[in-house]
Amino acid sequence: MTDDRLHLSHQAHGPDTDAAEMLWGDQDQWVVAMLDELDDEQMDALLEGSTAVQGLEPVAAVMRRLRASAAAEPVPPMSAALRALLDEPPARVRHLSAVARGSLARAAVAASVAAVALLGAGAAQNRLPTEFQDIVSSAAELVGIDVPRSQERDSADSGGNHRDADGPTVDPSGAAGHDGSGGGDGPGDDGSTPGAATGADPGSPGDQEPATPPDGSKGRGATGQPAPENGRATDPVRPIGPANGDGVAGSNGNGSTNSNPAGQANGTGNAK
Amino acid sequence: MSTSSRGGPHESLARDLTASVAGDVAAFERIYRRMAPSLASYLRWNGVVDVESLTNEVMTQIYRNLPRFTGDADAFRSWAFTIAHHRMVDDRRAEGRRPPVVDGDIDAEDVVGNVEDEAIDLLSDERVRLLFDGLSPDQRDVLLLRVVADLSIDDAALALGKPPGAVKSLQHRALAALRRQLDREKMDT
Repeated sequence: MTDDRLHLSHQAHGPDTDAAEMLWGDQDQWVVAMLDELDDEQMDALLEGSTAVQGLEPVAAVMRRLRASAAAEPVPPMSAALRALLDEPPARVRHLSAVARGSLARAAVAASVAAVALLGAGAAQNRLPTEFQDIVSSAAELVGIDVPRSQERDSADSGGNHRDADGPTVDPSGAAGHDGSGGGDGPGDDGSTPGAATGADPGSPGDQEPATPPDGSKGRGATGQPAPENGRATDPVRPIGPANGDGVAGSNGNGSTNSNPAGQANGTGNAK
Repeated sequence: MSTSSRGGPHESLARDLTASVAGDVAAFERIYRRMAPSLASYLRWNGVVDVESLTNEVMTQIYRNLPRFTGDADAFRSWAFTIAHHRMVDDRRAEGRRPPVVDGDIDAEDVVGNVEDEAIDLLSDERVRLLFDGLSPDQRDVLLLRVVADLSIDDAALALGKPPGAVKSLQHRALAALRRQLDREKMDT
């Protein structure tokens, strides 16, 4: 369709009539068809503002103007928010630092748990060095956990008797727990024979309770304090619960659980 | 789009992109100076009012997501203009703004002379804007992404979320529509 025909049609019908739109639409299709014939390189050139195709030069001119306008666009000022964001540590560094901190924390926790587990296992088996064993035992008592003290290990090693945490020494032979024999080397060895002093039958098998001293003080009482073996006074295994200091049997009445080197002839035997 | 415009600036963008992903702030500042003007131009030709603010929002989003970006310089440009296009669409919806459509109502006084070349050389931004207002939004987006953003057909298709064939068709119809409007101007003189 030539330009003259388009002009006449435009004048006759005006730009808003359906016929004019059809004519313009026909022209559009003609241009589209012409554009479809361009290869990619020719199309790129047209969009860059250069064309050798007749009839498309006005379009190329528009493209040139558009590119020039875009090239002349000034750099917009950077906002304060973006500037502040750039001034922060990079996200990757923050992320890596957080990951590293998390890894270190997890490693520290794991090491602590392992250490506590090993310590606890060793303490439960009374295998830790003396100082540490007693420290762990004391700490465990605070939370109601019964952990043997180092002295109990020593006693067990020497007497061969079973140590009952809640009861007196149990002689595996079935004899009374107090044979009074053997010179005790331990502290508080008073050489007394608890059972004999109180008149109890020292030979009564299965007698696991120390005789009640004649003074009425309990040989053991409810404290669960074990009778000494071999006449030696030993530190009792402290019962689970509140600290006991209210007159342990065999003590001098003041609640002390320490052994009484002087011994007591009242046969408590378990004077501490 | 065109290989003739590649070369130095393209390689420079690639280097700065690599450095910026690694955390080099100065490299991102160079990227900002290189990308922000074309992003702003794209937004401006699309009728955005607060071009500076929206451009910074786009660059901020680019910076925040840069550690997760993978690709070359072309992919980066495509990604950047995809963000800009989406922000522009959101801005347009929020403003309730629709670009004015001028249907062949071009003032004859804007056309200087009857010689085609003279008229073309005296094209002004305002006149080009009027011509672009005669395009559909999709046609305008395609031409702006191809010309202002300098994206290929495929990259423009990714930015617009359309098949490459549809983008190519839109491009041809946009150019044809421009041709038609230019003819109308000539006829009105």
